[in-house]
Amino acid sequence: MKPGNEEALLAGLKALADSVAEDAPAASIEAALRREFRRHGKLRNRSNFANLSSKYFKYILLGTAAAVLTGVFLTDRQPPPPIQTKALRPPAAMQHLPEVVAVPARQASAKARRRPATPNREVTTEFFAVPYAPQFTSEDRGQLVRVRLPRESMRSFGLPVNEDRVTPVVNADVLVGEDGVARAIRFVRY
Amino acid sequence: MTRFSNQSDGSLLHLAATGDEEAFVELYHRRQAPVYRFALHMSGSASMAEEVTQEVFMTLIRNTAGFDASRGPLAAYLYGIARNHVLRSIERDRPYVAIDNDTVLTTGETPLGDLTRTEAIESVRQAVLSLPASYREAVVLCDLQEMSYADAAGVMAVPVGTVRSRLNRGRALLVEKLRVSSARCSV
Repeated sequence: MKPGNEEALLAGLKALADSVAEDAPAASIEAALRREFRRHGKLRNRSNFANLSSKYFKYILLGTAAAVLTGVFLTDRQPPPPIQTKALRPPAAMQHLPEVVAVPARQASAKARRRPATPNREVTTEFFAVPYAPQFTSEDRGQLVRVRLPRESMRSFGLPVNEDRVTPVVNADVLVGEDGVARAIRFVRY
Repeated sequence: MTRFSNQSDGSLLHLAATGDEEAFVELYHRRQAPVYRFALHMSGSASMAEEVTQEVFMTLIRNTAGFDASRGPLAAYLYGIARNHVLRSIERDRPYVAIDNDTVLTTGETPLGDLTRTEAIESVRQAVLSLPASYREAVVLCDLQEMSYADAAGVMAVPVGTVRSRLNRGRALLVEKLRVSSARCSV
């Protein structure tokens, strides 16, 4: 490029630049940008909250789980309400029954353990020996099985039967020896 | 003087990122005119220049983290966004003919004394607009926006040597186009 041409060109470009030196975008663009800035600010705040929540979500989840488990554990550790038993005097003929080995009751299911505690109003008789059953000594071991029997069966053990009760059955705990033969029985009343 | 007068572009952007609207507006007031004029020189259309300017600052609002101060000043970053938008818009509008009134020479309203100068400016404008985009942006950035070669290289994402060569080539093409245009007028 010749020096004279370049000078003329640069002068022309300078004039072109000066011709738009005061030009600027319309004011409406600033207004649009302000609106977008506010709208984006709201989105950003929501996003920040969401990020914060997701960042600490696992900790929140772990904390909640720990609290729930602690609650369940403490509930399980509470001793069950005592069973209100009322000892009934067995017939004189049954007084010579051997000592019954205490058999641990079956563990209640977790669902049952979580069930709201209700006052246990269960009342039981003492154990009665089952007639003609083998002798049950203190060395023997057995299992306690809850069954439902006809209410009339209480008579065979010398117990009175309330005729006014609606239900024709009664709950009973049967002590079953290791040989599978019933050795003793007690009746349960709620 | 506003409370942001002594703040750097980076500080304003940081404040804007935390939700300070006035800081963003101050940044816009500082940088909107150069961005607009760059887009205007590149496209020859005031409406396209406004559209590009708006898009540049919309991009800044949506992605303030996109600016990395270690890679150059904010102005160069904004020019880079504007360049991308301009080139896309030019490509998009290539099939259409611009009919913006602001690019049409209004000879009927111009006093006779200014007619020659106005015609000359318009000739230069048309010559610049007729350059291939790669040469045009070198001329616009270095000659019309008075940007340094290094900053222009940052905007164009090319080495400084490439900016120099494109600028020289662009100027040579402009001289040739203006010479031909002048010859037509004198016939």
